[in-house]
Amino acid sequence: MTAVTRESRYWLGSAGVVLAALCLFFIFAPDSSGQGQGQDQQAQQGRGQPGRGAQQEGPAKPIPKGFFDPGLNRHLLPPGGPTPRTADGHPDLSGRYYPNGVGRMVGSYTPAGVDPDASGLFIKGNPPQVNPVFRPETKDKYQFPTPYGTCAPGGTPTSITTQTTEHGPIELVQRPGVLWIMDEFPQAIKWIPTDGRPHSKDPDVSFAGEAVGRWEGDTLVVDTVAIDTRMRNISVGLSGDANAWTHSEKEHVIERFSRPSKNFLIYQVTVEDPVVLVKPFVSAPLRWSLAQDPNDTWTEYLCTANEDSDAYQKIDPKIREDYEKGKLPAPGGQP
Amino acid sequence: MRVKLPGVLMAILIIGAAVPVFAHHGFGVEFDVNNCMDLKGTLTGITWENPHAYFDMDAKDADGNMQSWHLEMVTPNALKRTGSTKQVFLDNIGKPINARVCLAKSSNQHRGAASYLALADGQIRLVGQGVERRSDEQKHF
Repeated sequence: MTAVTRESRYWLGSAGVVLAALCLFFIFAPDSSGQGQGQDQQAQQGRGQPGRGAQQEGPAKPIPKGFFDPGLNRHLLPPGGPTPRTADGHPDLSGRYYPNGVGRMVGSYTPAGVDPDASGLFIKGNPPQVNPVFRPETKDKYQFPTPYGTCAPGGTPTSITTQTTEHGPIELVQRPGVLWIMDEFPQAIKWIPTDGRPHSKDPDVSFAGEAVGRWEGDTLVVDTVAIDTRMRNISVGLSGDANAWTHSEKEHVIERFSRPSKNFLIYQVTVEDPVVLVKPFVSAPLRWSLAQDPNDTWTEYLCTANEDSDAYQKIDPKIREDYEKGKLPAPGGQP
Repeated sequence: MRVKLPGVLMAILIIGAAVPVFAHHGFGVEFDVNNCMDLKGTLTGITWENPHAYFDMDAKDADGNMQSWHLEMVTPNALKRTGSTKQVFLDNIGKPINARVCLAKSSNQHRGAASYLALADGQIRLVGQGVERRSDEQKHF
């Protein structure tokens, strides 16, 4: 019951934060996508969706034909133009980005045929992703798959890294002295002051943690501490919930954001945790691409366990147990 | 300098890029990839909600008796970005539907997960995980 109450509070709290942040976004972001002009007008001619900004629901599009609709980009995007910049000269990171190189959602359920080099976050030719090196004594306490049927909350850096397997967009909204990062899944918000302030002396613990940002040249370095120890690191290292791990109170996350050209955002994360890891985890640079479809709309994707009650609840206990112990390789090669 | 990825790691990366993994459950826990079938019938309903959308269809079983099926799809955000919006399903209520379905492992009949389907226009729509690993050429009715 306590767990249920805690979960309910979490989701209610999250919903409030999301609503508040979206209100801010709609107030302050006339075109946060970095995309073309005229979309507001297009939206007004469409279905009358509320709010402003890019990627509003537009006129109904023709339905893609088959798996290889030529209207859906399958190739690595071109640079798209120089790095957008704000009035103070810093790169403008604002925009909606997908975890691949083609500027749209790509999964096994979306039209296929995407160039392998452009279908994911990893950049061809770069050093490969490595797995964190855990201290032997921490294995049982910190390394275990997400329990079956539960919804791991977002946080730092999972809300971003989990897109390795969830494939959803993130949206960055940058204003002088502040950056918001929103994630379609798991509907998380991260608020990052970039005005040079230091960390608090005694920061409150939260799933996003306390973040402060600073510019190092054209790279925004976001330093985060005070991350709730219930926040599971997902796809921080090997991908998927099956490789999830938790962390200690000493976890320290450093994220680096850069925008080498209009169409691309590069994200790199380093996780330090002397209690859990032998050495800091240093991710490969991960490539995100700017959403290209002007009709692409922000969508809710919440984990609410709405599975058919019969199919969901009458699962063979042995199968569930094997899954939770990581013994059940799911079909299709899933971890 | 190009760095060659070890084979296993490359496989993991490719799988991660190609196969959706939902945060709260694995396909193999609830559904049987070795017990899949084609269903032909009539679309009767759509449930558009997170984290899974569902559709309902009526289809005759081997004995000719009409059965009502309740079938899981992926998330609404993925469906709409392939052109399979809620409105598409609403426009096809009462019309023919073919669906490729893997049955639920539970004892309940007429539950399952759809991987792809065709509405009245005949277009193949991807609506679930490609757990059978069928090629695009194999996806037809």
